[in-house]
Amino acid sequence: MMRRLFTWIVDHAGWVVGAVGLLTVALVIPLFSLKTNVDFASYMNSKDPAYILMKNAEDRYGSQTLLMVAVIAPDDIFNATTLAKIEQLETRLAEIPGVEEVQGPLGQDVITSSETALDVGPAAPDGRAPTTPEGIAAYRERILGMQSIRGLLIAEDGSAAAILIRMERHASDYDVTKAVREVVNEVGTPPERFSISGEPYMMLSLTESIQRDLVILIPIILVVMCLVLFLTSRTVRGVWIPLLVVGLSVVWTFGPMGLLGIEVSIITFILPVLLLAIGIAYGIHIMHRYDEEIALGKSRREAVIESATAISGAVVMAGLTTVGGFLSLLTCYMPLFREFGIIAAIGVALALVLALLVVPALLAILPAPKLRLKARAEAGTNGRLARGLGTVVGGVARRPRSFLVAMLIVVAGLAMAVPLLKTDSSMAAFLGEEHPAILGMTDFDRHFSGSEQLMIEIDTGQRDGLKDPKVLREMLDLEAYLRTLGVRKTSSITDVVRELNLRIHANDPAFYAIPTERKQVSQLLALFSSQGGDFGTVALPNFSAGEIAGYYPRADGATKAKLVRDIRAYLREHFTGDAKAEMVGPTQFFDSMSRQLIRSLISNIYSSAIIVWLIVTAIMGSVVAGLICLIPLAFTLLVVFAVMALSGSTLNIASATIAGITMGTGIDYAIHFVSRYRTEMAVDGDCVRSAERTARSAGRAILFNAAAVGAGFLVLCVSKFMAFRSFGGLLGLAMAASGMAALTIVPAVLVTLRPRFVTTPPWSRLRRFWESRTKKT
Amino acid sequence: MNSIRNALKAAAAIAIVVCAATAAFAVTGDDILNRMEDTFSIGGADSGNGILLSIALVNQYATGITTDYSLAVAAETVLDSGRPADADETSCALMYILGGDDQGLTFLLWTPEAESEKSRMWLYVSSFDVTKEFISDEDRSARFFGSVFTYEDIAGAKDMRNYYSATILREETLVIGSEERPVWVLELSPKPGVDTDYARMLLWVDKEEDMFLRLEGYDASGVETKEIVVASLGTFEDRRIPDVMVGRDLETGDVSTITLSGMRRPAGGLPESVFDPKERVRFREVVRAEQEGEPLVSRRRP
Repeated sequence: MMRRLFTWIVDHAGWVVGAVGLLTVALVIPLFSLKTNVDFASYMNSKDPAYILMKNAEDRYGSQTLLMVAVIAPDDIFNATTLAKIEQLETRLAEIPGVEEVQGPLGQDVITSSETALDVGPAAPDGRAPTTPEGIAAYRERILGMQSIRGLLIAEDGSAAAILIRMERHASDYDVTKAVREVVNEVGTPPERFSISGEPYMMLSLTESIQRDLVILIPIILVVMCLVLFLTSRTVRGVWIPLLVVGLSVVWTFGPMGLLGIEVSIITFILPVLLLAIGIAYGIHIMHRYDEEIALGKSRREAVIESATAISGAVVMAGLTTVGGFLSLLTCYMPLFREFGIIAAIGVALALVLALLVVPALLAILPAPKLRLKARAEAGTNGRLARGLGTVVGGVARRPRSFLVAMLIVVAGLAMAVPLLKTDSSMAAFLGEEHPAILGMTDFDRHFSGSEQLMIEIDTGQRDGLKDPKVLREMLDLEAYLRTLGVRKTSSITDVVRELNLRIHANDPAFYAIPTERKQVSQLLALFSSQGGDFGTVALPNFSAGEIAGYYPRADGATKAKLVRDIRAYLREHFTGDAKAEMVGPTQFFDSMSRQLIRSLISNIYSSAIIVWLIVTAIMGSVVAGLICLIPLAFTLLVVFAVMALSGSTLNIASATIAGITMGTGIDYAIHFVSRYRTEMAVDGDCVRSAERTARSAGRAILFNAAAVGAGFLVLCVSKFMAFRSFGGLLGLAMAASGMAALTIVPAVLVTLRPRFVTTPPWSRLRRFWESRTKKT
Repeated sequence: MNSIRNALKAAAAIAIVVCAATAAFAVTGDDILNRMEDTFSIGGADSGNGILLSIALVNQYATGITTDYSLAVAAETVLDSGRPADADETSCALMYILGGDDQGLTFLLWTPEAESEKSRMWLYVSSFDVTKEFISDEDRSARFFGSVFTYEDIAGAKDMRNYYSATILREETLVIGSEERPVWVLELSPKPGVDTDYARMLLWVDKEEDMFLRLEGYDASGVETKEIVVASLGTFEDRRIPDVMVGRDLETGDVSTITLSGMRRPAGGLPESVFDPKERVRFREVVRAEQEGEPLVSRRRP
């Protein structure tokens, strides 16, 4: 069947190339309408309780998105120049379309009071920066004395000021954030330092970094692949034809995405790099075989049909296992990975189909090369590398049990390290410490209450429930507890009530407390809301529920997980009455995302192993063969996770897919070795000599293949994202480990177990069994 | 706190509208706007006997939450014969919350006629028995008791003549309940250099009463963001006045309804001490009288 297919392709080569070319041109156009989606919330499983809690909170309390600008002065901000810049920033930022509110240390409304009056107005006179030394001194004294502003808009030591920007509900975060950055860049001249932080800025940074990353990564991987292809083929066509095929598969994968409006996620965007690394092999195999056929003196037409027919089985097998590896991501809990799995599987399948379609067609059109491949092939199998491989594998095959025992000790050692593996779904883990957006967070950690935010909803379930002084005191106790956990500042309705109580009582510090009567609380709150005061996330308009916000410095996944556990335990213990309390904000969301990552990873390990095992079993017709081929992959994953754990690399959104990719790609080496070993065993039936010969022939190809794919993955090490840098390194390691394991562990197991499928192919046993049944009948 | 001042202005304006009389034949959009503002402005004519009315405010938020406030308002223009004729009036408004835990929270506003003088506002927090004067800058875009209405939306809180230029778009008939009212449809554009809530506004102004019956606010991109509609008309002293006004925030989906009721003139006028911030007792007395339905007997004009 395959021969007929390739004959048809060769006979209609021009048409095939033309049709593929036309379709590719048509699919290039939608590439320009591709959009990126960097919203981490959309990556979560929408049925996850943490996701539901956060979305419900957003529905009830509105957007909690804040952009934050920090102005950091060399000494302190209380000088005319720095204050003038802050004033300019406050004014200009407020003018940006889509900005709803700007809170700054000059214009922020504050309440002061005397015996007879309440004074409401901006923190600085008329909201303008004071210019005289006396005015600046008075402003400094006034603002540093304000509990609600210190730590939030002004650093405790006066060294920095913060401007908080709240966007309109329907404004474009991307556009507003870009405009904010432009203003900050214009106003932000030395000696002060200006930095931006907040979720919208993270999103902008991610989007721009993705675009910059692709601009850098694609040319680098092209260069690397050109080198690899040239080294293996030593011909120009051996470089451009496989590259063209993989390039086509990238266009064919992403073009329809643009057409269908499917957005590129934070992990899908590296797919071109992965496709280039993985898909290149399919073209290489066909071309190498073609060269061999030409070297044997066959005609161009004959050589193309022969080589494509002969190699298509192996290429399809390699492609299918990789597709299976990616499809195993469909079992993941997070939709992000499911989507990536489908798109990557389609991409690999397209690379495979295009390789089988376009490479023979192009070879049929192009003139045949003048090669002396036979000599090169001889040199290959008798070369230094081949001999070395033969020696190593032969050594293993002679003492297989000793080798396996040694490996078991290594495995035990590696297994001990794996529990040290940490997860971190935070932006910092993804972007890296040196990313400007993370540096902005560090500034807020250093000078203010912190860049991380946790939210706890207190829901009394009844109208005006928050006006109950008992509930408010429980909230105060909770806020005090949060501070013992490292939360630097909290903000809630208790602040509003205590502040107004203090002001109504002429600043008597004794009244910075929750009033004793419900009516008193109610009137203070009515006073606030009657003047248009917006409680925002602090309380719902009917005071049935409200949120406590806590600010703390940036923390890793483990610290956040402990924080969430401790807070939840406290809430379970203390909020047992009518008032229910629950964590709803970003901290619990990212903690849940970390747990989802582990869940996705574990499910992916199992599912990829099962899928790959099923494919190998079907291809080789042996359950045992499938299991043996999985052994080097299990070892590889163990090595990868141990290295991750020992190097401090965390499991994050990118690395959670590593199991599926390793299984799907690395299995090829084991399949290749086992297949060749069966062939060699048919020659003389000697296990050790067969293993040696297999290593000298297939071993070299396995090493080259692993090196080529690994080199492609290693290109990710120059990514701007820390997560992808470690991901690329780990995938490179995985390819090396799976290649080496296929060349050592697999022969050791085969020689030790001497499985029947090696000498008697299962399909032939089945055929004989069926024939004997038929004869009896 | 600025908004409390505006709330009082708005309440007083609503009260005083019934006293306004305007003859009308409009020539330009600005003329119509002038007449409308004269009718609604707090400095408008007042009979001097004061007015009492109740305001019910219901806010229905898009999230499904509903809040309501019941407010009682007393308003009067007080004359000081010792001052020049063009500065002898002070509009006083007292607004207090009825019912629930907030009962008795009272706001008092003085708005002098003299442009050189600033308005003043006091707050009486009955649960603490404390009176404080509020000192704050003007703010016209704050939400009135958490409602869709801003103080700019409610007549009197902002003199639109200072901010917008008006042109007549068309004349038409607007149906309010079962009643057909002839109206001018004005298009308002911001004057150069002024900061406004809307980039464009359409205003339906009643030809007979010079009051707006419908308002549509648009943002810079031409999208309608808010509308306020007079849903029902009532009568007071032979004039038509808005009974029910419905405001819709088309961006958030929030809806607010203001219902005016019980508009009346106290027999003999209001006691002067009602508007005296030093008279804490009177604050409470007014609240009690309103609660118990007692007539407020003037001590000033027996």
